Amino acid sequence: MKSIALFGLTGQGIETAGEILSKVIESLGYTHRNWRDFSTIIRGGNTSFEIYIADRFETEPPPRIEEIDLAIVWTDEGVDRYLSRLKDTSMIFGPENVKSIPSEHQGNPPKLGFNVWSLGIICGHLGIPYQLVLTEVEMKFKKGKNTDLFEAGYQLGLTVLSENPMTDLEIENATISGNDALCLGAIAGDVRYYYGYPITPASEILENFSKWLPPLGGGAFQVEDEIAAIHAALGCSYAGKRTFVATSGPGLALMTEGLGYAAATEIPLVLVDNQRGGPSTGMPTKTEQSDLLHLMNAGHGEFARILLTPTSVLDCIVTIQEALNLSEYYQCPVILALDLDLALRKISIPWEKIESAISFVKIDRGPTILESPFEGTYKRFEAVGSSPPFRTVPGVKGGAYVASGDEHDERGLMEPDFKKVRSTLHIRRLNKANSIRFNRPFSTIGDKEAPITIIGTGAMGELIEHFVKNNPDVYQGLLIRQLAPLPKEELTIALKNSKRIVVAEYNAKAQIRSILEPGLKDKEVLSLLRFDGEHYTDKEFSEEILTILNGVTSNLTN
Amino acid sequence: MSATLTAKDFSNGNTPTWCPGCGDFGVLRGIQSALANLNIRPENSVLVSGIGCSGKISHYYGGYSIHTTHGRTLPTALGIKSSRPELTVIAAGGDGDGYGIGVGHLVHAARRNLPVTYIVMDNSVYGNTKGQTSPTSPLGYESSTSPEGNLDQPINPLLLAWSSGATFIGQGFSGDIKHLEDLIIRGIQHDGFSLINVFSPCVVFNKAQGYDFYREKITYQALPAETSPEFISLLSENPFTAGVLWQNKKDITRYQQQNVVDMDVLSYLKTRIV
Repeated sequence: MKSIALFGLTGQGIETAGEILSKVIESLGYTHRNWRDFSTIIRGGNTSFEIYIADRFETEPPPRIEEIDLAIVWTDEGVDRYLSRLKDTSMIFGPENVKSIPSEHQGNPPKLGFNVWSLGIICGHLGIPYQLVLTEVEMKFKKGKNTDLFEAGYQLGLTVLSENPMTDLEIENATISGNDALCLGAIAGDVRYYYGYPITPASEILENFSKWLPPLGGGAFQVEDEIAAIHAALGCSYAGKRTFVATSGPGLALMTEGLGYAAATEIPLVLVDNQRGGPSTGMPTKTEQSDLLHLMNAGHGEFARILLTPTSVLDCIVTIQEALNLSEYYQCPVILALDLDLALRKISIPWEKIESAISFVKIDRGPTILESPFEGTYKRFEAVGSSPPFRTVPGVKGGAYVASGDEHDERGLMEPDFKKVRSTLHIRRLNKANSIRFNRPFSTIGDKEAPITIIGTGAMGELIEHFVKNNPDVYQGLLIRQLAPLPKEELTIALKNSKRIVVAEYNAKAQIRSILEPGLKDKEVLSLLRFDGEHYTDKEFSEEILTILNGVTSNLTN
Repeated sequence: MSATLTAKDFSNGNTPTWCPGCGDFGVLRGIQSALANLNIRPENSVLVSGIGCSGKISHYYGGYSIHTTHGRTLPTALGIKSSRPELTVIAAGGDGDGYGIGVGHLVHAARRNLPVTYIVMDNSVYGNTKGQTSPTSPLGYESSTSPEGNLDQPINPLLLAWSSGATFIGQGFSGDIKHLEDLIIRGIQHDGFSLINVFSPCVVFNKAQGYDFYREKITYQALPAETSPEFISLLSENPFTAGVLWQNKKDITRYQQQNVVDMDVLSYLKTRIV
C-alpha cells in the first residue's frame, strides 16, 4: 500500500495533477482510491489531493489512509497538515521557502507549474515509466517549460525511488465515483431519460447523463428547479419509462411535495439524496448523513416508502437497479441515501468487478402492463389478491385511467366515498411495503460470533470494513443497506452474539441508531458521531472506536 | 370499430361536479372535440391537469390523464412528452395554477419549446378555495383577500409567454366552443409549445366577469400577428383579443422520436468509463 499527498492552493491545478496521476496508475492496473479536500473557495483557498494505492493484484480499494509515504506541499500550512502524517518525516518535498523541508527535497517551481513538478516527484518515487506520464502531461499542458519542470521533479523523485517500483500489471482498470456508479447502474436498469437541477454533490449525475443518454436514444434535461425535476420524473414514470431523480438536502426539501404525490398516485419513483452538511445551504462541499430521519418521514400525510443506503461505490451500481425494480413492484417511493464522500469518492478498480456489479441485477418491471390491449374492465388501483395492482401506461388500449393526488377510488376518480376508500385503498397503500423482497438488508464482515458489532453505512462502509478485517475475531461489521422497512428480524439474528454495538454515523443526533433501535434491544449500544464535514482516515476511525469502547485493547495492525 | 371518433370517445363517463354554468364544461368539450376531429386515439393522448376546479378536468377525460400537484402541469408534461414523443400531450389548469404558483414553469416550457398544448382556464379568481384574488384579477378587484380592492397589477400571460419565446399563442372563450375547438386543433398541430388562454367564467365567485362581460369585450383576430410590434399592439389595444395571435417555427428535434441504436449496453457503458 502506498499513500501520497499533494497540497497547494486552489487554482494551482492540484486536481488536474491528481487526475493525471490517477490515470497513469489506472493504466498500470493498480487499484486505488482518490481523495480530494474540497475548498468552498474557487480561487485562493488551500486544497489537497491524496491517493491511496493498493498492493499489486489487490483489487479492494483502500479507505482513506492516515499514514502518508510522500507529501509535496506548496506552503507552511501543508507542512502543518502532513508532517505528522508522514511515516518518514524526511519524505516531504516543496519549494525552498517552505519550513521543515530537507534541503535535498527542495526545489524552486513557479506557482503555476508546481503541480507538474510535483507530479514528476511522485512518479519518480513510484517508478512509473517516465514516458508514460510525460505523454499525459504534454496532452494537458504546453510543452517546453512544463516538460522541464516535470523532468526536474522526476529526477528528484528518483532519489527516493520506492522499493517496489510500479510495473504494468496488465489489468484493465476503470475509475468511477459513486455518482458514476449510479449512472452505470441506472442505464443498465433501462433509464434513458433524466431530469435534474445542478446541486453539489449530485450535479455529476446530470452531467454524465447529458453525455451518456443521447447516444442511447434518450436524453437528459436541465430543468428550472427541483420541483420541476421530480414532477418531470413522475411524468416520465407515469408514461412508462424508467428514470430517477437525484439531489441533495435543499433540493430534497423542494421535492418533498412530489414525494407524497408519488405515494398517493402510486407512480414508481426512485429518489437519490446525496447528503451534505446541513441545515439550509449548510456545508455544500462537506459530507454528512443527516437527512435520514427526514427521509424516513418526509411528506405530509402517511405513506409507505423504502429507504436504502448503498455502502460502497460498487454497491451504488447494484442498489440503484434494485431500487428501480422495487419501485415498479411496490409502486411507492424508493429512496437511496448516499453521502457526499461516497457520491464523489473516486475509486479505480478492475473493469471486471464493475461489469459484474452492473450485471448483478436483472430488469424486472413487476406488474407494469406495456402491451395492448388490457383485457377486462381495468381498475388501476385494485389490488390483485395480496399483490400490488397492475399499472398500465399510455398507449395501452383499454387501460386509460387518471392518476390523481386527490384521494380516489379504485378507478382513480376523486371525490369517492372517503369512509370506504380510507379503510380499503388507503390501508393497502400504507402497508404495502411493510416487508419487502430485498435479499440483502445489510452485509456483514468478520466473525458472526464476535462480541462487538460496528454498524454504519455509506462513506463509513470502507472504514468499518478495513477496521474489522484487521481484527476479525473481536469485531463484526454490519453495513446497513435497508433502513425502511426496518429489517428487524434479520438484525436480531445477525446481532445474536453481540453484546456491545457501536453505531458509527456522520451526524450529531444518532439518526441511524434511532432508526435501528427496535432491532438493537437488550444490547449495550454506543454511538460514534462526527458532524464537522470531514471523512475519517483509517487511523482516526480506529482510535475513535477504541476510545468509545473505553479502554478495550486490541492488536490492531492498521 | 369505426375509424371515426367523436367527443364521446374522450369521456370516461364520470359526471363533472363543476357548478352549473362553469366555463370549464366548454373547455372539456373543446378538448374532446378537437382530439376526435384530429382522429387521435384516446389511449395515445395524455391530459395533464393541475389543482383547482379546472384541475378536475382530468377526472372526466376518456384518455390517459394525470392530475398533478398545484402548478406542476408543465414539468409533468415535459416528463411525458420527452420520453414518449409519439403521444399527444395536453396540459390544462387554471390561472392560479399556471400564472400564480406555477408561473415559473410557463417561462421555461416556452423557452424549451416543449411540444405540449397548454390550456389555461382563466376566470380571474380562485374558485376552488371560494373566491380569493388571482394573478389575473383586475386592479381594484374586491375579494376576501383584497377587501379594499386588488392593488397588484394583473399578470399578462400572453406577453409573458411571448417574451419567453413561445412559438404559438392563442386566446379563446369557453362561451364560443366552436372557435375554441378550432384553436385547440391548431395548437395541437403546432410543432412546439402552444399556450391557449381561455376565458372560462366562474359564475359563482366572479360574477363581474361572466359570459356577457366577455362577449362584450372579445374581438376576433383572423390571422396571427406578423411582427412583434403588431402582436404587442393587438394585446395593448384589447387584452381580450381572441384567435391565434402569434405563431412561428423553432427547432423541436430533441422532443422527436430518436432512432434508438441497438447496442449492447454493457459494451456501451464500458466505452464511457474505460
